[in-house]
Amino acid sequence: MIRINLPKTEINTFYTFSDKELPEEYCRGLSCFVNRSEKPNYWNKAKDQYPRTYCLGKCYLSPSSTHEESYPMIEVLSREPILSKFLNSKLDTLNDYIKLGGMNSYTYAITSMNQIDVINEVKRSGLRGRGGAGFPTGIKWESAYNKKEKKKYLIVNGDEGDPGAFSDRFLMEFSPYLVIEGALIAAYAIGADEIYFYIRREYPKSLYRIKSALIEIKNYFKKKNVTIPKINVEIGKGSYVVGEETALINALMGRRPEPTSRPPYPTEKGLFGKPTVVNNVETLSNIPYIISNGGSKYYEFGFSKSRGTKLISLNSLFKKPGLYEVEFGITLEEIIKNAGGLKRGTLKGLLIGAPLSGIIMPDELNTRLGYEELREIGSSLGHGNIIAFNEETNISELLYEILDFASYESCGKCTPCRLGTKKLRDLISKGFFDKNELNDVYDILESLRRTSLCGLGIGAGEVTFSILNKYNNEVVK
Amino acid sequence: MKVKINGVEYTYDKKITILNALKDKGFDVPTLCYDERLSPFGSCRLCLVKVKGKGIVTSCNNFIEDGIEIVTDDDEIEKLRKTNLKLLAENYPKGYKDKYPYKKFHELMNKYGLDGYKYEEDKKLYDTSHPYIYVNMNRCINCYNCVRVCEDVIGKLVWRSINRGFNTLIVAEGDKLGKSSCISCRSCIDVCPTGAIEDAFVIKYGYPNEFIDSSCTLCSITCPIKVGVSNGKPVMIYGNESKLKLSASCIVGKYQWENLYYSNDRIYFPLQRSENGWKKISYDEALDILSNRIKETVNNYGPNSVGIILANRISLEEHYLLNLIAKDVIKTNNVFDIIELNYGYSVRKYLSNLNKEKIIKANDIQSLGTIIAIGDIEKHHPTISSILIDNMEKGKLNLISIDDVNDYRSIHEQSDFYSRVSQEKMINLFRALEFLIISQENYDKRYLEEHFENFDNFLNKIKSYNLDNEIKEIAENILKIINKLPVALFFEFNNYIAEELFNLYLIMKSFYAKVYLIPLFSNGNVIEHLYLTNKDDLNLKTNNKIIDIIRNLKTLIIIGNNLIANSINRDELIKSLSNVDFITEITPIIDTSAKYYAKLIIPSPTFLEKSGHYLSYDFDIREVNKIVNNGLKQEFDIFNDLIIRLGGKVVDQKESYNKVITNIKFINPL
Repeated sequence: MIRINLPKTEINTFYTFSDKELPEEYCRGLSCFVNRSEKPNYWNKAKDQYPRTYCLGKCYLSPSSTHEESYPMIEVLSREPILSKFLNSKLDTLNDYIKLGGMNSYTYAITSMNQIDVINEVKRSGLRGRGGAGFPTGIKWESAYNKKEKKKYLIVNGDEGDPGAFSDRFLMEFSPYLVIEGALIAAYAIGADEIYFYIRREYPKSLYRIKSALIEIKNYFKKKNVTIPKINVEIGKGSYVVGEETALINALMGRRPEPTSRPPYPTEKGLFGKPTVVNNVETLSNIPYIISNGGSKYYEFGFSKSRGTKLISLNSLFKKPGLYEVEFGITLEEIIKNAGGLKRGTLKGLLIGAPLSGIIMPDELNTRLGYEELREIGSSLGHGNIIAFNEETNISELLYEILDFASYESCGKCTPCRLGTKKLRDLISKGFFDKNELNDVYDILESLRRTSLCGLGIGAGEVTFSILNKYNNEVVK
Repeated sequence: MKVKINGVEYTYDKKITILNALKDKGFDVPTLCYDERLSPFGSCRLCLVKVKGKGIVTSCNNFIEDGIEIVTDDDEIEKLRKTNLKLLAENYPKGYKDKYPYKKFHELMNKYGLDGYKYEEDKKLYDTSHPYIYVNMNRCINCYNCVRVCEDVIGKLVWRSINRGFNTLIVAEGDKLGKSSCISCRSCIDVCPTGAIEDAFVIKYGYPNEFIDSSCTLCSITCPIKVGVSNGKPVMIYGNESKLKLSASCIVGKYQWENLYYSNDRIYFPLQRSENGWKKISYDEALDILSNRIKETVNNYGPNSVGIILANRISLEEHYLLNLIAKDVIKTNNVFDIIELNYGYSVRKYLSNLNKEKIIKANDIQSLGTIIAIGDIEKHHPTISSILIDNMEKGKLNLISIDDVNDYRSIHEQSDFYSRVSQEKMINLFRALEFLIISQENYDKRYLEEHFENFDNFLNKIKSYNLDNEIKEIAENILKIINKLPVALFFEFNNYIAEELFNLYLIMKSFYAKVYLIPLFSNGNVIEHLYLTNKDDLNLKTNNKIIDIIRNLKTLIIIGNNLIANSINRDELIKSLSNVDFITEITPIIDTSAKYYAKLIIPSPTFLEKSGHYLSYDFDIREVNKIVNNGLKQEFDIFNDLIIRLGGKVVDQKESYNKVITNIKFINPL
């Protein structure tokens, strides 16, 4: 039995912004940290701000705040602009989208394809989750599809909290119809008659665009006498961990948004105890292409076990920051070259999938972009967010920022994350790890990496491990 | 299913969690946030094991699969466990580990050579506003067991977590537990691994300096227990698991006795109703008044004008004396117990049908194949339901649970099959099961012809029922699960469905052969009385008839507390009670009947203040020992005093015990 909507007062204390509003917010994310010298007063304000704001999705102009706005450059490095086709067109109305062939995939799927055909097409495409974990999307759908329950849910995860990432933000903002079409196809494939969008509070415009696009789409299908699933939109209240799928499910049920240990997986027992698929915004945005062009066509892009294209977010320290649609298999070096290198100083390291993934050193730039390939060098793809930093960044300070973030955003459910992140943060706060502390530090980071309940704790362990490996002389005294 | 554990192969019948699989084979896995009554949570990260191909996983929520290989502890696992435990210890105040060594967390700290390292406590985290529950959240390790047991098992939301991360705190609803909607069930004390939530009596009187063997008489399971005594006060009870596995694992056994023993309504002197309220009198005075009253009533109206109702359990020796008083001394036929009062004498008919059956001892439940639990066993016989769930979780038996309870019970979640059906539908379900079994045409017809008055008639009736598909589907599902024998039907007795269930039992027996029916009785649990006293005319006395008889009594003796609370015909009973001239109640507390209807109250002890033998539901004799001596006369002595005054002969404990034992043997072979 799952009790929903527990007493709000207590649940709300979990979130940083459930009952607070600030006239302006300054971002405390890592992208803003590594480029803080550009606007030191922004960073100081971010540090003083209570409660904190982590990442406004403006990493292309960081240090950033809520009161300025500009749009990132969108660059296509892939052979075909699968996603940027829509990002680069001005889609003001559903009609603009339909003119580009929009909604054809969904119509085709529901009229000419069985659910299992859709799933097989997605399996064939090799598409994997773009939220970070990289789980094969088709298999996830199939396992929900196979559950015999009548009620099933699809959740669209628009809680892109990783600092440095803004791809989901602009998919929702520039191309909400594409995201919704993908969601409709997914819901059809798994047999869900209800969809939930969860969009973070830091993306007010995404929220607005999705909401108004939904109205247009509902009317459009009503006119065509097509019944589409019920669609709900929820807004975040300020918590990084909600982006984790089981935490997101708890948040939607009005429970404390803590991750749940798996098994059971959401596809077995998810939202309100029913089979549920949680898909990331970018994952779903690829679906219409796969349906209209076929899974095998999509599979032609990319390499190895990473197929298709990926939106890469580059931070403001690059000469040409912005969104880059690349094919998997491109080397990190090529990406940097295309972005014109750094605008200041020399490259000291890259944070990919930040904040909770290992750091990449300049001598590892020949690594090709791919889930496994990045994992091999102790990093991870995350949201495809790349934060470059130069010699201005002190590694101990960087590690402090990361651990402070992890500890601040930890839900507190599991022992290593609740206590371990804080202890490591406290130890590094003096600017280094003492040699005598190293045994303790390694014990804790091992416990974080190997025994944490969700990716937050695991990632905090990974990043500490990676820094101790790669920048040992800078952090140990 | 074959599973390799530390290189040795084990076999399992069912897909169960790794933790349960390990526990079943006697492996020790450290846990803090795991509790049999709760769903796996995965916050403490201590129950780690290595699974080949998967690496380190928590065993509480991962399941065994055919062919998996598990390592339960090697240096690496132990180190990770110790690191997590050390993180908890570093944030735990010093001094408690040695003071309360039996706490789960303290035991683990001892095992891993750790201690609390925090020197200062935050005074704001104390909460002493609740009379039974003491709270010191400085000792909280965030396992959320209290939050979960309150929400998931009890169905309340008293404990709540606030904030997040390192700042997460567990607080009571409205900040003060004493002002919250807490129902004092104390489940949270029971599941707390540190003592952050602790029994107020343990804090007040200290950790026990001795433990005395006894038995809990609060339900008919009569669990063997150890009672912890500190400075002459009983402060803690825990099950004696060497005698009965999972004994007193329920909160009734562990905590509800405090509601009785430490109740503000306890009385220690006899009380006589007078114009100015209650008047304190001596035992001798009280017994004189009562015996004179009985004599007078017998002289004026005949012996049957004196009645006795047994509202709660008494010892076997006391049963013997009670029968003696009623039959030989007063010579009244009107001795009833609360079960008869609720259901009439028909209960006895059902029981006499079962007399020749082998008795399933609680310790033998694990050797059964399939259990069908019918009715709210978890509420009324929690230890039985714990035993059922435990064996089901360890893959030893199939568990089917059927009831009409409109509330959460862990047995619902932990069963292989659970169906909530109304009592009316339950009868139909039994009929559907009968029908399906009979249709397989593979039953022992001779057996049924022996046991049914007219089996062909019954057969026609079964075939004629028009049952809806939903019920048939449930019945089919149930039969699919019965793939392991023997089958036992644990039945929380209820007159409405009893007859059809007994039919089903016979039909199942004719098909599966190895089938047992185990009726359990709530409402005072005075099941011994049914076995120890013979009654004639079993057909005549319905519950209404008994209540009528009570109405016409002149003198009534109520033995035990909670007669009215345990009655299912309360309104009628109250009317009858108010019609009786003179009621004496022998009770440890002033309850409703004592307060409003009794003219005389004679205090009796709780089970912690008396000694004697009790009969458990599975026909074991359990010893109850006097834990506290506070001058209260136990029922045995009160009965003897009464016998002398009425001209009878005193019988001592030993003699009554010997005589009563012969009786039990006569009624049901042990």
